[in-house]
Amino acid sequence: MIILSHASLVRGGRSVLQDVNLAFEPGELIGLCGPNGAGKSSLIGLCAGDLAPSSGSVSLHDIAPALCPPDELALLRAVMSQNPALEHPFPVAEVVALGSPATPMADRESVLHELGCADLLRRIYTELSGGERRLVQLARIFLQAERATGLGHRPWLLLDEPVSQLDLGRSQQVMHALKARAARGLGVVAVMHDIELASRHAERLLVLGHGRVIADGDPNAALSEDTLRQAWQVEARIEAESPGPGVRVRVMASSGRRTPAN
Amino acid sequence: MPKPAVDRLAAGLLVATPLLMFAALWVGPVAVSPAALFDDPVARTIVFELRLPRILAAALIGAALGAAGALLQALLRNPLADPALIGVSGGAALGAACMLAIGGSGSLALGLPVPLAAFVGALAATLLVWRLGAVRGHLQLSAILLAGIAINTLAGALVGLLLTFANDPVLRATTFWLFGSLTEVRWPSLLLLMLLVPPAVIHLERRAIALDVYQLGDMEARHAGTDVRRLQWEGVILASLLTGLAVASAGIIGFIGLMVPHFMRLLGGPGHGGRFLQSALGGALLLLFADAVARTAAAPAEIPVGLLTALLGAPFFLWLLRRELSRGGLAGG
Repeated sequence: MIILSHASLVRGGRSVLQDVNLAFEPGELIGLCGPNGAGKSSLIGLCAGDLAPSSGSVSLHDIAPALCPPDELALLRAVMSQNPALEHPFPVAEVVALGSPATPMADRESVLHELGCADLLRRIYTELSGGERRLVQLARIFLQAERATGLGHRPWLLLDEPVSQLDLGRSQQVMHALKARAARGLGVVAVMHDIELASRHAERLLVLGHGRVIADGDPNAALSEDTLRQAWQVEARIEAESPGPGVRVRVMASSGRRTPAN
Repeated sequence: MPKPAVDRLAAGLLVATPLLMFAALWVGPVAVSPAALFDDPVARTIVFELRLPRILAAALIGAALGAAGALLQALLRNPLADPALIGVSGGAALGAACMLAIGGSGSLALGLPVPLAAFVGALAATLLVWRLGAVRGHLQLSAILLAGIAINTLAGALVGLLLTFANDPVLRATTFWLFGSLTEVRWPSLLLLMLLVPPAVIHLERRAIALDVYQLGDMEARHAGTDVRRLQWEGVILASLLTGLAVASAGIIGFIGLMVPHFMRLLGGPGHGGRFLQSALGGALLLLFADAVARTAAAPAEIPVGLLTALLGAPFFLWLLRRELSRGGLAGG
């Protein structure tokens, strides 16, 4: 379980998260949405132990992640960050195995297959497109989590924009892979900008705005017109997907953030 | 991650290195044949007291520089790092020169103070490069190379200043650093190299997977379970130790740490499993070969071996620099 209790975060003199109270249960896919700069990546950073709260507390499996040694922490959560900086021409098979070094080749292929990209196995990482690199990194994260599971842990998957740069089909495939892991009892928190996609696949949706929780709960309930107005400052019409789950968001053409005129 | 190609490469180098060492015993300004060892005491003196320690030193110093280069390239996540280029060797030379000036002795062969001072100088230079090379928390190649130029210039100027005030033995002993040479290596410093270089290379091989993961970036490596601070400190200390030992024994011999890891990466792939052993053996081979040429090409005079490696290495560096520039500038790191 991940618990944030009155957690606040100040970075560079700016308040990024304010008095956040949350409890995440494993076994569900939690979508984390919100506009740019809302504090989504910082929230992932707090849960992952990259950042320590300025006040309040964060606990992951009953420990403070920011104080946990990296090797132990790697068994409790696997994290996908926005921009891994691998610039050496590693074969994809080796990059995937960085998540769990002794993994047999068949297992590396199988995790890529699940993400619909088994054909990448023998390619060179630096020659891949941005989206393909994301898939390979996600496969690496999955293997790290599988290793931890094999050692008797129930790791969290904390994913910062796992479907960014991915096409329609691959995004669906990734969401199915995440749901499959949640169904196996893992906790999955995924930052997503596509709120329709999030509403269709997540079991719980959390909307952040200005460092605060604006909505939290069942996606259809959490994504209200009022939530969109508060978080994204857009006027939009929300329609329930039929058949559900999920919603459609129709943003009004005239809405959107405006820079005040001088 | 070891794989067959990597293993084959290491095995080939493991066979080639002792063979070249054995061959080098019979190369020099004086012709000596193996048969002469049985009945000629002069031949025995030449082979066992002059050539053998020198050949062992060439192999170990080459190994230290090859491994140090591979390590710095891994730590800085950049293929252009070399102990001499980025100022680590310059720092080591300055440390050693200071100790010689304080001690007032021209002998590099005795005792621990000179290698220790070289290690401290190398460590200070590495930490300085690291600090100056980090722009907004990220290592940048251009900043690293510029920091290296600055440190090398400063270290060179200070060594020059020490030479100005040095007495004759110190002057003689210190001058060879400017070029790098194996003429002054004797058994005590050789013992130190034997004692420290192989365990350092073995230790680095054990950290190969962590260094692979480290290539993902600091934060990603931490996410994957690597204690990044510890890995970086270990790396900085070992790179300084290997470079300090090499410089204390033979002065600044550049470009081995640049060229050898690069070729090993071309032959064995970008993974670090096997890289340190390969780079150490490749460095040994290159310096053995360069030293054999240095001893014989202008016999009876001797060419400083550091000049030969620079003649080979500087054009290679320019080629590599041009390639990196064409790949997207010097901002990587």
